[in-house]
Amino acid sequence: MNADSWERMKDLFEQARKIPLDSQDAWLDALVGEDKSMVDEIRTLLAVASNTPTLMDAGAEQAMADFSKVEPDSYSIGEIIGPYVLLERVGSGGMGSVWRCRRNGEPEGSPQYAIKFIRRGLDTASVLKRFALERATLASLSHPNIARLVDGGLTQNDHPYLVMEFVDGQRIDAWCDARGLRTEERLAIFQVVCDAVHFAHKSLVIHRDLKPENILVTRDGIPVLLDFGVAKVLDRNPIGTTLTRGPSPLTPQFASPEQLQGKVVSTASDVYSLGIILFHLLCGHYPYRTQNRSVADLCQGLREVALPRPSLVVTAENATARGMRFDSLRRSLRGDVDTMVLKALRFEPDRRYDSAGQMAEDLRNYLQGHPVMAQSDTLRYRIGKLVRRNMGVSVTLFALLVVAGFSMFEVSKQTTIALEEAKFAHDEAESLHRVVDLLIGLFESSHLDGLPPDALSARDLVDRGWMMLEEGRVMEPLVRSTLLLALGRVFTLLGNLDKSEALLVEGVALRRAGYLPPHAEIAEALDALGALRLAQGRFEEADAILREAIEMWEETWGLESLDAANTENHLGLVRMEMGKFQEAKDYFKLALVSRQREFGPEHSSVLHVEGNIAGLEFREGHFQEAKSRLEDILDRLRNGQQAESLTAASHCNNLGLVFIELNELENAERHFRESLKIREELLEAGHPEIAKTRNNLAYILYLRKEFLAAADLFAVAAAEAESHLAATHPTVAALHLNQARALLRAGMITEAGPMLKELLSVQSGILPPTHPLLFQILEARGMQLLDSGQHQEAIPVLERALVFVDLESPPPVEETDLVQEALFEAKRRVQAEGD
Amino acid sequence: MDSSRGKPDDLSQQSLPDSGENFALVYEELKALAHYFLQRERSGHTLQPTALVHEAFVRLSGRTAGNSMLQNRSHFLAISARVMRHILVDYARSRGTQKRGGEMVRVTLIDFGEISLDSEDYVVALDTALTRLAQMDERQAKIVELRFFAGLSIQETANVLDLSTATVERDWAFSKAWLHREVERIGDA
Repeated sequence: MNADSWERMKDLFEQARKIPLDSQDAWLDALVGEDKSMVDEIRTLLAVASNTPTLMDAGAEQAMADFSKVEPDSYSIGEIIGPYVLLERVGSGGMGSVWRCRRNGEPEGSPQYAIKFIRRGLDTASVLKRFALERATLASLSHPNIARLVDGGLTQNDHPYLVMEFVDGQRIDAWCDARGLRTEERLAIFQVVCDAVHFAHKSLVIHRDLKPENILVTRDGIPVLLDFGVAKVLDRNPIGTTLTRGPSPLTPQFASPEQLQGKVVSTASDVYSLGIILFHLLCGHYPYRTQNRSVADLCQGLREVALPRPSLVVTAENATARGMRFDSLRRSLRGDVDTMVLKALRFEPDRRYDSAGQMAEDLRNYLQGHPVMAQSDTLRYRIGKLVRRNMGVSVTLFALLVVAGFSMFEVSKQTTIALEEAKFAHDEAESLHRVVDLLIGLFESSHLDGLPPDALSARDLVDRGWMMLEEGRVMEPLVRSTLLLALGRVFTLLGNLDKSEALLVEGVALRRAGYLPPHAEIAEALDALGALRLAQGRFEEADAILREAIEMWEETWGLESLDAANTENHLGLVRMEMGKFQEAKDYFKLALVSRQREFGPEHSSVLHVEGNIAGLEFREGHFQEAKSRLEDILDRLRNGQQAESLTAASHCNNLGLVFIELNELENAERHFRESLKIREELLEAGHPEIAKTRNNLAYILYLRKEFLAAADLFAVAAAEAESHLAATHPTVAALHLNQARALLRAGMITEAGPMLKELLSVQSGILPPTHPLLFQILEARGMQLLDSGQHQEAIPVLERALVFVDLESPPPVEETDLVQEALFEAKRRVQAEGD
Repeated sequence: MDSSRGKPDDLSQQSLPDSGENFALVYEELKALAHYFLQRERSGHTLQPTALVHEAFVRLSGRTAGNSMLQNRSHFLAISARVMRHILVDYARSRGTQKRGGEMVRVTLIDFGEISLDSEDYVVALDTALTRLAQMDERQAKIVELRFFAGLSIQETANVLDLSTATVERDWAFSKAWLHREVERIGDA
């Protein structure tokens, strides 16, 4: 067929294909002047095309799947392979079939071996070469829990085979299940497995394909590991070290991320596989799915997504298989066991157990009731670090507090949102289910009201939930506590702190009554209450509550858990508010590390913590650092299409403040306006966040010496804040202080007087005596008294302010000098009047 | 074939002879990966050719950064499709021979349009048919390689060959029918 008629045929085929099937024949018949054989061929092709899908459509994927179905196995019982005689086919593994055999000519009852035929496709010569090289090492692997590799050779058909000690046993998982073993019994046998792996590691042999199929338990209950060294012998890659690269026969479900990626394989890879096996052994599930996922996708997932805790994935069925009640199975896994398993399953090899021996040791610790390393090591490390850091607190740390009083650098409250996200991932399935049921119930009751479910806003829903709780309709204490805490957090976020207070206080009480401390459930409740105290400005209380929470995390999920990260972040915020910057930074860093590890660097919860660190840098006077960090955060938000979010508004506001410090007022104003615009769009009128940004815009006016206009705008902001916050809230107090200062600078000294007087008397009773805001109030009040001619009254106020000079971290020296001078002046005038 | 048509020609300029250095590179990588997955029976883990090719790309680009082939993804995919074809056909041949002890066995036709060919036979027959198709129309053969052997979608195939999806769709429909008929003929022979 020539090119032209080929094209013609394609063309006609295409036209005919678009015609309904039953008319195609008629259409083809009607063609005039076409080559008849070609028309016939088109007819055939159309018939083929209309028929059922063929392998063509399924593609090579199907062909590959088909290929791997049939394994030719031409061996038979009694066949002689080298010096061995085949007795029975015992299995077919990934590499080929396995037979039980014994040495030819030896009587029955003599030692039996397992002979493993290696499938075609592997380079025969190099398998044998490697076996020869490894032989001495493998033969020396003499351990009661390891089946030795004893021999290898070629069949008559040049088919390589390996011979190892025959183990008559059952797969470890089947063995445990058949006996309905409980958690501790499973841990006990697994500890033996870990010890055996460690023994091999000390002989520089890495298994590289550990999985339940390779761990058999004999009739006497002794676990024996198979195939040690086999993976290496079969490796297609260069030899010579115990480390190796490239795809070797591994099993994705049990392979470590570095193996999947074809990177260097080390003893840590075996530790990872042990972790997966133990995970499955304990809870009956795998931590993740590998089917139909590419390695790239899998690895990315492993890097970014936190693995579930074994205790969270168990089902009632798994419990029955272990002869346990659902609750007791979960309880047996919660805490230490969860932590130990996940310690083996870290993405980064160097963050896993140092060795299989250490893992065995830790399992033993647990079984004997000792603290496990997986938790206490990091704890000691961190506490030590925290203590060392705090030995000499730099005096410059608390600089810039005066400015901070003026301009409100925000610490993002949205951290709590991240907390909600984390909750959804981690919260306990059962009570979550019940809470979800309740929420669905809320929708249903609205349906009865004649409202379509979608007519409800989230806010309505929250209010309904609150009503239900108020009316005592949810009585089961633990379900009630979950709902209380969830709603309490939401109200904290919404700035409705009074409602939040009642809910969270009750929630904490219920949790304390329902669980024995230390307990993660109590820690979670304390964290929510601590966050509320922070929002209320009751920092000392917040600090105490959150510290209790942290201690409980240490003893439950561990300081590296995401739950602890939430508390660490909150505690960082509290310490920052209390002026303890270095400690604040340490806490933020702890939270940051956990979240980065679990979510990757771009996640919103990571950006929140980074924003908080920028806040610290700002307060420490590291403006260039703060600026770069904030610009970077905003860029990342823009890339993620989140330029218009509340998060962005907060970072934008803070960047404006940094620009003020850098004396770039235009840039500062631009960022404040941007922030205000987003907030006014997304928040209800009068929201404290709006007030804060407005305060900062007013501050720009102040800096431009438009004092009256500034005072007015500060007043607007104060009124806004007061509509949502208590009149005594530090934020409100700071806004009033700013207003008074602007009035002073505008020369309206008598108007400023009463405001400052009240501020001082109220806040003296509320703020801790060393709170920086108090210094600022004292300073302003002292100046105002001096300016209004009340020299005598000014003296004690200014003297009180000077006490701050002796603090561990005093206010900036310019400020204290000013107070010194004012005091000197006041005394001079009193003296002069007396003369 | 008529090689004066615009677009396919661009591709044939890009594509390398089978013995090229890049081909060898991709061949090694894909062969290792395919072997690995083909040897894993009962695992329930079927790796898609697309994933395999993607994987090879990731591995190779990690190892041979700056290789111009890897900078041109389309080019890489085109080579990969060819490589996959070689690998699968070789594999199918060796397995087919193995099963039959070296004898050629006639393929049985059960019903029109539905062939009871084993995958091995099918792949080998398809390869032969594809070679014939390439003599008639190289562009169509390329489309089949990319779709069948590399598992690319219509859209991806169109991107690689710089064709419209409509063209790919049309050619694919025709090639499928034509190849299927051809495979049957080979089976009958």
